Amino acid sequence: MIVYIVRRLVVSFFILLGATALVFWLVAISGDPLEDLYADQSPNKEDKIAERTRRMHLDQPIPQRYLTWLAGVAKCVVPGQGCDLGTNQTGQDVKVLLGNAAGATLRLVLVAVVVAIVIGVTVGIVSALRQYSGFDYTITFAAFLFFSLPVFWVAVLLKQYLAIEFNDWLADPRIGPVPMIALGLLSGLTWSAVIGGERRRRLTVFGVACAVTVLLLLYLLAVDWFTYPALGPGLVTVFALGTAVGVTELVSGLHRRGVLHASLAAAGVGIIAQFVLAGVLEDPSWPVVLLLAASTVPIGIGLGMVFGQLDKPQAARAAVLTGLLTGTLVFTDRALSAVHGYSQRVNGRIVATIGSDTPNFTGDFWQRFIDTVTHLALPTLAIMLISFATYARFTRATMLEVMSQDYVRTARAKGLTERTVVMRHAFRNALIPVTTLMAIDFGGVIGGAVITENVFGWEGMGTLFINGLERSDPNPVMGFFVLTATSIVIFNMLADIAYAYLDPRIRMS
Amino acid sequence: MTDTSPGQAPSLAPGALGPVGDQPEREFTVTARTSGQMVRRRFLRHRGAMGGLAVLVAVILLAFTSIGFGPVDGWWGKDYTRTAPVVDGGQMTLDLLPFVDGDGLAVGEHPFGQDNVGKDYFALTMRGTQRSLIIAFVVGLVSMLVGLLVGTLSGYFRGITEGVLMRITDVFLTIPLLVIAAVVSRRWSGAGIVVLGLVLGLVVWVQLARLVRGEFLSLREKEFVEAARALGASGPRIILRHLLPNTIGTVIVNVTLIISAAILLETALSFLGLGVQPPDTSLGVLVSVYQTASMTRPWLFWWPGLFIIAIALSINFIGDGLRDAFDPKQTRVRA
Amino acid sequence: MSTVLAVAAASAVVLTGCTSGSDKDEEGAKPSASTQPITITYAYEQEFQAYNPNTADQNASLNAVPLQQVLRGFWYYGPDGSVQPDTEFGTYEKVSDNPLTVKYTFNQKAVWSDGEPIDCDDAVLGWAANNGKYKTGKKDSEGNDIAVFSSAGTVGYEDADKPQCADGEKTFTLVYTKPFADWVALFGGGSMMPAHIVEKESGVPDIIAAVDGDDQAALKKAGEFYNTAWVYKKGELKPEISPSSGTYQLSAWQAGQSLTLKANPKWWGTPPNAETIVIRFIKQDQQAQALQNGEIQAMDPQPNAELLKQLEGIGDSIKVTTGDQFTYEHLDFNLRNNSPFKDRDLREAFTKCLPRQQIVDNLIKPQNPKAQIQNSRYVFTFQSNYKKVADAIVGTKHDALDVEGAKSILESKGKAGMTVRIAYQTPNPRRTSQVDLIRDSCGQAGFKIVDAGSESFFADGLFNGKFDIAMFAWAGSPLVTGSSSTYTTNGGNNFGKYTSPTVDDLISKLNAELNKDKQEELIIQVEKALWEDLATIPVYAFPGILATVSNGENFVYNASQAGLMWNSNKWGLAAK
Repeated sequence: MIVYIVRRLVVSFFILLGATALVFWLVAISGDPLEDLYADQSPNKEDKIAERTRRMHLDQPIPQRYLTWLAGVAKCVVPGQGCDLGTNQTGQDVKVLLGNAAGATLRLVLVAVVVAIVIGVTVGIVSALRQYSGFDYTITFAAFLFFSLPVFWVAVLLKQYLAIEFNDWLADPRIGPVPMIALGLLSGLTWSAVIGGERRRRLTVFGVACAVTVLLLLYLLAVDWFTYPALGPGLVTVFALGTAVGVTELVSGLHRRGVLHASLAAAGVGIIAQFVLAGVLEDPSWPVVLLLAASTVPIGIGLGMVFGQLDKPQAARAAVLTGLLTGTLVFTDRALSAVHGYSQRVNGRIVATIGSDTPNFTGDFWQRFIDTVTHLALPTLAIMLISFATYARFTRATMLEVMSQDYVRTARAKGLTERTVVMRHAFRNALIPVTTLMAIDFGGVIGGAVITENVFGWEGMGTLFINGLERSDPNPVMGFFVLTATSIVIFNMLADIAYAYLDPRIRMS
Repeated sequence: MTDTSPGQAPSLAPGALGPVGDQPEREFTVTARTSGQMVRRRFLRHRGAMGGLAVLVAVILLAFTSIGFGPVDGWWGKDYTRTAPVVDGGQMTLDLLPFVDGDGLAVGEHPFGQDNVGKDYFALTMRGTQRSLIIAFVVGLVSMLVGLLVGTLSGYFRGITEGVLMRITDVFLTIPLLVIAAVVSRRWSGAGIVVLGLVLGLVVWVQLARLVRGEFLSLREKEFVEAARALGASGPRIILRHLLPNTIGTVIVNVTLIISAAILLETALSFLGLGVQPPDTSLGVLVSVYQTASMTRPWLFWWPGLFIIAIALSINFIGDGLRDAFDPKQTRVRA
Repeated sequence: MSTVLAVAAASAVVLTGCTSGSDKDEEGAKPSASTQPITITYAYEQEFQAYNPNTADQNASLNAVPLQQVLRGFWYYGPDGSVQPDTEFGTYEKVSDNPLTVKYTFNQKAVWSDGEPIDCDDAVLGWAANNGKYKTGKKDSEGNDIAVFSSAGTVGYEDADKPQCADGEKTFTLVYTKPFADWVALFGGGSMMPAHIVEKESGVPDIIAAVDGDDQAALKKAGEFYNTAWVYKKGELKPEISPSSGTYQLSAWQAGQSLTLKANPKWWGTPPNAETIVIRFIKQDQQAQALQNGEIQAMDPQPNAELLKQLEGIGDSIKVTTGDQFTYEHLDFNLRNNSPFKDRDLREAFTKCLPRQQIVDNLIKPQNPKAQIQNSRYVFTFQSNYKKVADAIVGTKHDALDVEGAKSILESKGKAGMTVRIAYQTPNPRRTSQVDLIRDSCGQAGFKIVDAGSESFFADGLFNGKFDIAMFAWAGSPLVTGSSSTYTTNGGNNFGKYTSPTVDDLISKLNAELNKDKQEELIIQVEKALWEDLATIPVYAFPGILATVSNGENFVYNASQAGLMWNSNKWGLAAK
């Protein structure tokens, strides 16, 4: 194992060396870095040209410039030498630029990737289980559509409809009868397709979902929910208990009473905790929130041990999961409650079209959180579309392949329930290849970020790259590249290791 | 990066296709034809793929016959470079909703409207479609040739050849596609669209090369290859006659996907100002020039966008159909 | 286009002088007794970099625009782009013509925001830093001396002696060694940096003494600090070395997102109206939607064909104003020996079929309904003396299209079907459209127009004469001295290689002329000659646009590269 990692690292090092040389050379020949100065009207144009020539070492041949750059980067590897990624054309330190940029991009990309994986994998599995259903066709079509959309083109539409017009709507939230019925029908179609079954069952599901949606919307409008959104203790309780039941069904099936009781207990603890910890939740900080989330684990395990009877491990797992989801519900409730206050701070324009936050925004934890979320929403969505499609299609394919394997047939033949077959035998094995996809997808996401940052005014690594490239300025481009290439190499390695770990058939050598 | 990277294992294992057209082995010839026919039949019965193919052919015909290509004139009388007085704010005259306003279906003088200087936007969109298609197909062709060459050489000869070629692909794999595409097109996009397609093709072949190599690695251990080798077939002959035909499925499917990705890549590059350079145009150029027109002159924003989506979407469906056709395993209804 | 603008704007910030009459009213300015606790957000495309906007590197709009109310000086750009004296900061007047002598007086109450008075040493530093006379003794790769203080422009300062004043004095006199027509444009906003900070940080005890004693070592130390210390790390302001001499001071900088200005408590004049100004760095294409969504309150980007329509479509929640910019589009003939346009008759034929009115109507009017053909290279259509100057130089002689006339010239010369390569920097959709219009019009006259737009136009094509006609913009300033290198024989910006002894002579007279009326007289003569020779054809002034929320107050369009920020101290928001 260690030998494998070391060998891989050595090979990777040389690959990175080759890649940096290639990119440096390509950027250096991509254009003339003095271009903007040629049309300069000022009398000391020559001085400016001289200054830039000196700073960018333009009097040296490209290989020598590359070595100069490489020597600076080498210091980053040797401790105590001080990192030197050079300066850009106007003399700003690339290391500092990169530090700023990486934070912004990481936030953007991380959220997009996580959301894309969760939704993509879920949808992929459902559409595999409902192969050749309306739902499957819809998802297939949607995935291909997302593959086919120019990102910035979508961004323009997102800004217009999900930000500007949605904010306008929020100023006076009303839903006319036609859109209301349309939403009801849509919800009905979706749920009946997801749940499936024979004709009568589908019709029932359709009717119920349709009615529930319309009634829910009417209720929300009646209580002015869109102006004062929140879940409230009542809904938190209902959802938490529902979550407990749902998690139990997925983990073990409802007939395992011990598991059910542990989950319900975990939900109960969460519900009570929101009142007990009201003071803490008034204006917490991220460490506090993470601590609370972490404390769910021992509590969940404890509950599993107490209520679990014969299924202690499963009960513990279900309880931890329920606890975390209940915590999320409580968190969502608090955050939603802060929306109204936030909305007044930003003149009712909740969803932002530009930037990573409202400049100089101060407020409590929840308002700052909402500020971040509303600025992340559109760019995340834009980056996510393609990734989501990739994960959905890939998961569907692997899931179908796994479902046709002999061991799944054997499991069915043994008389195991469909839930057990899917959750225990198929699902896990289908997830293994997805780990590789994560590494491959990363490069695509970074590419998407280049465009998305541009459109949504995020000053991230993509901006650093494009600005550098436009001025034929290799240093910022190289700063960007070293960071992304290194992450790609490391991600690939981690994916391979994870793959080998998950799939015992693979041996590392 | 290593050559044992799992997950790159070929997911497409074409059935037992025999050597094609080898005279002494008649039975195999028959099998091969049947297999080709099976693929064709499966493809023709794939509704999504057929729909996609119909749309794509329609778009290609429309783009190339309407305004003509090269010396050949088209049936649409207007030139995409010709300015004219802007009529009625350049509104589109195509009437797609004959029942709403009651004046019937009409094409009119400028069905897609006019741009700032009164150029016919239909002619411009058709020109853009031609250019985008040409770029995409050049990219597909170049990446297929390079990918096949690299994949074949490293998959068959192994050893030092494989080591060197695979390290080169690894170098390319560390560079996000849009990044390297942006860098090369900044340098070469001014040289015209064929050159642009060429340099883009030279950077997108990597995944294909790896897939071809993967196929070769598993195929070269198969019995029929050993048999051919035992019969004294030369290296090139084995590659051309026995190995390459068996990778066709993988290659065609992936080239299809590369072509659809190339359409979007060109669009993204044009948005960044690095793609096709004016005065030439492309769908990407049109859509990025008029990205702010969505609320003011929506026809300038929507038409090129819709054509991009139509092309990319139809190619994706065709790719899906081809995958199913070459690899029946995936379409098998679950037991 | 943006490159030209940025570069040109950069150089003009320090250089621009202006001949136009100076009306002093600050349109719509309402005296505000006190500072309102409000925040106004303004969208600007480029991100701030440095507190010293004078060095060769940092002399760009991206620094100069945000700093306008942070580093004030003896003058600023008025709404029509003219030089306006900043009487709150100080006063200056010409006291003698021969030798040219100008007396400057700082406001008695003027202090840096750290409490240090603004006085003699700041002026001496400003002069020393911008005169280009102190050399490091090192040479760059091309053999030029490297100056101690990096400066974007030494014009004017290099012709003046050291400001005469003693440490702590509030007045100083500047004596020129030779007449300088644009004397009003020295020591403007942004040109004077805090000398006491340089002294403290660089370890030079006394700048005035160092200049007086010609202490090269000390000046070198001062120069090092001056050139580098105020180039900030991105997102990191250094308040301790960056005091303000204006209504606002730099308060916060969020990398890649925004720069925040807060009212300067030490400001001695009329307090600013809004307590906080936030400059958000937003790409031009994205600004309209941000304004519509209430994330910004004001913007003045480079308009494109869609922008005005887009903004007008937003409705009552915003106000839109259109105007002109101090930048004009023009076509330059290549007059080198191997060029067909060496022949004046062919230049005339081309001018006859050049659809200038159509270009203005189709491409500029949708953005600025008041746009018209511009016939002067020095005076812009929106300036008060434009009509007078334009009528005197050429009238409307070349305004009308005369395709037939062009055709007959071409035919008589036997040049029908001659190829004309029009070169410009791409991508630039507007210029591409211009070539389309020219192709249709001049095509009928018998020219074969080739669109030779290229990405390397500035890098290569323009420089090396790879064009028949070059199409680009000069950032304007009717700088009487600024256009010298554009029209004189072998001038650095004379890309068409135009040469005329008459014009050379007139321009050298103009550069030394101190009387405004006589300057105008000379300009008319220069331009008459340029039109007679058909060396370059001006087409139009760039359109500009300003959009604010409808309750915005005192947002006044400014034609110069100063942009909207010029009177940000007056901005306000009416209660809705």
